Parts: sequence; C-alpha cells; structure tokens
Amino acid sequence: MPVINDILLEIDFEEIGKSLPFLKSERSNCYGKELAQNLVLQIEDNHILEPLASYENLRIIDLVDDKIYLEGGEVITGSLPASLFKSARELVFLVFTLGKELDELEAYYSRNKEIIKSVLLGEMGNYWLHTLSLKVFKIVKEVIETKGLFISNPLAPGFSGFPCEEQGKIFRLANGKNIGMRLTTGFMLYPRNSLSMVTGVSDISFNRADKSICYYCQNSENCQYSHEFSL
Amino acid sequence: MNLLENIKESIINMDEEKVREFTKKALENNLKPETIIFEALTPAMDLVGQEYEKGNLFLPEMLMSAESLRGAMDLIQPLLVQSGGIKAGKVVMGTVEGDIHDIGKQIVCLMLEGAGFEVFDLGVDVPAKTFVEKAKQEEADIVGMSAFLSTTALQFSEVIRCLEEANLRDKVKIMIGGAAASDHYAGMIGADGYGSNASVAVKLARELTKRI
Repeated sequence: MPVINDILLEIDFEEIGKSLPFLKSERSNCYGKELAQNLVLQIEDNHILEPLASYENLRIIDLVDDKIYLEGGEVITGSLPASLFKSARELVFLVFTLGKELDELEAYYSRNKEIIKSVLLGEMGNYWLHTLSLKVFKIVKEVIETKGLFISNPLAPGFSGFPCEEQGKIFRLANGKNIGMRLTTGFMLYPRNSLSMVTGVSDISFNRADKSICYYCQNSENCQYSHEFSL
Repeated sequence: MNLLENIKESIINMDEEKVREFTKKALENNLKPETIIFEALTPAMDLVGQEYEKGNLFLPEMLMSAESLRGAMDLIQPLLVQSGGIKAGKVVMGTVEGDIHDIGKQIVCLMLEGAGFEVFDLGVDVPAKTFVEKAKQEEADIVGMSAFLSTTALQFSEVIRCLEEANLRDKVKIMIGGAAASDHYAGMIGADGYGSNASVAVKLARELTKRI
C-alpha cells in the first residue's frame, strides 16, 4: 500500500493571499492582514503542515447498475462512479491529509475565543488541502501513466450520485489509519484537513464524457470546483 | 457625532480600541449599559450582518467587527452583573455526534454573544444526551445544532427525540445550521428554524426567543 510522504507544500503568503479574497479586500484593515501573515509564519516556523497520502489500486471484477464489484469482495455503490468509471479496469483509492497539527492549532485558537485566527487557519487549510489534492493526484497520475495506462478525473464522496457513506470504504481500502487518519461515526475524516478520492484506471483514454465529473453531476452549474480536475 | 454613533462607527470599522474609548466616555457621561447595548452595539452588528448577507463584507471582516464589541463588553459586562444583567436568552450550542466541524458553530456563538445571548458551547461530536442534560441544567431557551454532512445531520432528529423523551421539547426552541441543513430539512425533522449563516442565525434566535 503506497504512502507518499515527501510532498512539498509551498507556504508562501503571497500565493495564499491570491486565493483568499478577504486579504485582497481594500476594506480589510492592516490588523487582519498582519494577523494572516503572522499565522503563515507560525505555520512555517513550527512545521505545522505534515502532508501525507496513502493509496491503493484494486481491480474491477464487474459493474452492474450502480455497483462496482472489486477484487477482494468490496463493492462501491453510486450512480456517479458507475457512470464515470464504466470503462475502467481498476480503481485507485486515495486518502490524504495536512496532518493533525493544523487542526490542533485551529482548535487552540477556537478554545481561546480567537475566532478570527481560527477562521483564517480554516481558510488557509482549505487552500493547502486543495493544493495537496492537485499534487497527490498528479503523483498518482504519473505512476499510472508510466505503466502505459490512463487515469480518469478523481471523484470524492458527497458529490451528487456518490453517497457520503462510501467514504468509509475509501478510507479502509486506502488504509487511512496508516497515515494517522481516522473516521468518525458520521463518516467524517479526522484530521479535518483531509480528503478522500477515487479515480479510475483504464487501458484506453477516458472518453470526453468520462473525463468530466461535472457532466454527470446535478450541481455542476453552481459548483465552484467545476472543471477543476479536468485532464 | 454623539457617542453612541461613534461606538457604532467604530464597530463597523472593526476598531476595538476606539470602541473601548467611546464606550468608556459614554459610561462617564452616565449613559446606561442597556442604552449602549441596544442603541449602539446591537444596531451596529445588525448593519454589519446585513452587509455580510449582501456580500459586501467578507466573513473575517464581520468577525473583526464582532470581536471589536469586546472593547465595549469588557467595560459593560461588570456593570450588568452588578445590576442583575440583561440577557437576550440562553442558547445551548454544539456540533452533533459524529461531526467534528467547529468553525461555523464558533462563529454563530460569537455573533450570538455579541447580540446579548448567553451561549453554552458544548463543542464538537456532542452526543444527544449531552445536549439534553445541558439544556435541562441551564434551562435553555434554545438548543442550536450544527452538522456538515447528510450522514451526521441524522443526529438532529436524535437530539429532538431525546428532548421529547425528557419532556423538554415544549420548553426549548430548536435551531439548526451547517452545510447539511436547510429550511426544508428543519421543517421535515421538526426543528423550529434554520440559520443559513451567522447573521441569519442571530435573527432567528431573536425571533425564536420572542415565541417562548
């Protein structure tokens, strides 16, 4: 079960600033910007981010209606994965996290009623998690493509047609425990700054319709992440 | 500009030091704490909330305004305690069992406190029985619950069921929030309201306490 532990995440305030609209606001006073800048320094100096990923490939045995039957007996259920991965020969299950330190820092400020710091850390965490997801996907894509295979766009539980409950299976199959993650009773990943994904692998290039998650998703028009992972 | 207007403007400008300075002057000029709260702090935060809802303010900006209230509350709170205090109501708040999202709830807590509510924050991953015990112990007016996923939102119903079982349902109003909640969902599970964001949650809490 491969673990990726050498992921470099840039902790550059200028870069973060570009993705946080609040920091670009003319109205936001110096205090808010200085606060954000100090938090970034704190994160950098104390090595708060501990990006880790774990993934596993499993062969598809059969696909019937909205069920994908995998080697080892596991079944993935959902109309969205069934549509998106219909030409796949295997699935890759991925989990990744920024580590618990960022959660703990956020919780510390929250407990101490420093809500703005907590909110800013939450927003920065979203930015880094998004960056991490792109990097992890790129690494896995390169591994797959060196074998002469093709990879689909990734999919996460919670999309329309892919129930949140399926997160438990992805977590287990990708061995999230291996990188210090756990799952709550409500199928939520801990640390909070973590994500799970599943992606299809095929001998042939995924066709145009297969490439777009948004093609199948009812929320595509309103979704801010629409086409983010387009190949 | 009079002192109440100065306080309002300082809150809108997110300037805690100015809020403190003008509140101190207002108290020295014999303005009552209740007057400062109801004629400066509350209308200022209402205005900030409206601007946030319109998309004219970012969330951290709204929060900086809310935090600037502390400049006033640090001075006013001891006087309110002496005089027996005024509270808009008691709210027991938590993120339901199985869910570990904190920030949204924290923001609502901060805004409710700014609006004069006494808030008991139970934290995250809170079992249904803990909501019930705290609501009973504090004689809460409102139980507020947050959930982020459809899987964890099922716990809203469990909390409501436990409140009914403890004969508390007719004594408290229930408000829900979080990404997994909606007006429709609130109606479906028998909650009294849904707050789509912190500003709306404050309005809802005010509305619900009027109905008690």
